Amino acid sequence: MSSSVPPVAALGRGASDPLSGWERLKLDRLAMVSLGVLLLSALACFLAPPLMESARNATSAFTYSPPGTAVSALGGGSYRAWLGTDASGRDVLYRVLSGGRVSLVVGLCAAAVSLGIGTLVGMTAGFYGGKVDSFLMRLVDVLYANPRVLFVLILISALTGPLSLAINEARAAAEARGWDAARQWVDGAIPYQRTLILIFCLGVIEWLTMARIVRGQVLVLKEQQFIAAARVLGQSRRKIMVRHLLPNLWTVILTYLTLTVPVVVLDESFLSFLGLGIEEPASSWGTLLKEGAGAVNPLISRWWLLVTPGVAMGVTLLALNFLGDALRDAFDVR
Amino acid sequence: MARFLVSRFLSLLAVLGVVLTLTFVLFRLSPGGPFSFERDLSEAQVRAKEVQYKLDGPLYLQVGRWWQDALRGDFRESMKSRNFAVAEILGQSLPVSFALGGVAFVLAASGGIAAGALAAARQNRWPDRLAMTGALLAISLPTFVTGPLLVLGLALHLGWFPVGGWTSWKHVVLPAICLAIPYGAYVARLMRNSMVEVLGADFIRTARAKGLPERQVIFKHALKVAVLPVVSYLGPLAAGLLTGSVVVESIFGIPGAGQHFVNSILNKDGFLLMGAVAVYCVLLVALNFLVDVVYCLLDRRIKMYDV
Repeated sequence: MSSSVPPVAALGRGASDPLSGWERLKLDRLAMVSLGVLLLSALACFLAPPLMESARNATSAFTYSPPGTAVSALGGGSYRAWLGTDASGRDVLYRVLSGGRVSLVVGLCAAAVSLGIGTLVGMTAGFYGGKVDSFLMRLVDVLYANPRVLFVLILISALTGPLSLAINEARAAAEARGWDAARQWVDGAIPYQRTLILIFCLGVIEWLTMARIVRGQVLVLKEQQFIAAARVLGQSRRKIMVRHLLPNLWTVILTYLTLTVPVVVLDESFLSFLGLGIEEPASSWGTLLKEGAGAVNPLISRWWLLVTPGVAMGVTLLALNFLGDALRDAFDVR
Repeated sequence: MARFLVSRFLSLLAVLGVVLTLTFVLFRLSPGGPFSFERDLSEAQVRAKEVQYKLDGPLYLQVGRWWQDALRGDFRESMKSRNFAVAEILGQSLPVSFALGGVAFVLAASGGIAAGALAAARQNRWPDRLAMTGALLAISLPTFVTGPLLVLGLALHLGWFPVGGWTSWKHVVLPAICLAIPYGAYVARLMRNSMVEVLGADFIRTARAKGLPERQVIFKHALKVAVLPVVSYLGPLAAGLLTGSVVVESIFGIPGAGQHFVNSILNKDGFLLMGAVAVYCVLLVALNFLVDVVYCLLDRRIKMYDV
């Protein structure tokens, strides 16, 4: 996006003194605005819902109130539903913020999983080269040709049964041995089964691009002299990878982390649309959008159910994409 | 060039074989099995069902027999919709998806290339910023947001198009736009980046130095080279669009093929799944090969593979 050459003079430095990636990023106004929007959105999603006491307890008598109506709360008193209420009289603003929390957590964690796999595969392929490299890269090619949607659906339907079975067994085992703390911990995990599966499955399908990029970068890096020096000094391959390659890859990793999060959030919303994502009563932007999409019909269109989560998700993902593009430009990652 | 194309063709065939085999293995290995919906089957009954569906014996034989049938053009019967051949189910829904996807493909490719080229020609000025922000926004929103919004605006408020269904040409417009938006945005971004790079190249400077009008520089010289990365993306783009989208089909009530991809997995209808994946993969491979051919014709440098 912002490929204009930043004014070097603004930092009071000569043209012979090149800017570092961070300095270039700081000069990118769009990137800084995006970062601000992102922080604001994350803060709102994580901090606001616990504070919205009255919205959380809204009565079901006020279903489908349009934005701005006053709604009486369950525990007495009333408040204004600035963004309206949904089919069960729940406050849309509250649901969008708490749904954003789920979407962002799933997005970040799944992106982290995909980065872990992608970095590992890419580094191994690039560093070892030869047969290892061609095997791993053919694998990536084949997985690219596989329709991703199918793969994730098969994975989810395959994992759902065994995971709940495993949880039940763990719970029974803890109960039999009288480990109360462990049982409570397992009980606490039960509502998050779907979230865990989603994080794992989305991470497992989104690592391909990362692996290719990291491999390319490693191929460039390993020809450089400091790697040769480390080799001459007799350092082990693992040490070279962890100590010398990884620190030089982190701008790539950061860039693609930023660019993978929106992809994963979109994937999650797609799965929610199919009814395979986050399940009621928990919500994510995907489940809210699904509800909103159903609320647009020829009789009465409750547009706020679609527009509110749509704007929240659109703005957040837009900011992430802008920031990712800016990072890519600033660090010249290709 | 011939040798390059032959080797590409062979590697694409290999990919096709691996992907379909992998899908079959995944389907057979996923827990529950295809008969778990029918309750209380005894071991013997499950065995009998496996024999009936040719799913008995070791896994490699099962895969082998499927390939044998498939290569003869027999994609077997659906495991859930009794007495319906997979070929029949896909034969009814694919033409719909092809029509819709074809229109969406034209929209996405032409719109994306035009917007990307315009943005690059006006780099860092307002048309560029507007087009690229719009493209990024289009990528950031799922189709089940843009779809209902299009319905709300163009169908319900203005009444220009029908809300859903599949009977006249008017029914194609909204779903095609909806389907084309994210892909067109991707094409536009690809096109802009490539065009920006090309406009900085030496031969463009030469063209400008010769005193050619800017329009001619862009349309006659730059566009032809800059479009190459987009061309290589058109293969996967067309394969994805032509096989339909479950989201767009369910929003607009269209009897397309996209639903079968998802429903076959949810219903554990393995043979329908294999049929749908086969269609997708054959399309992908064929279109990628076509793209390679076009690429060879557009970019003469690839001839060096002949050496």
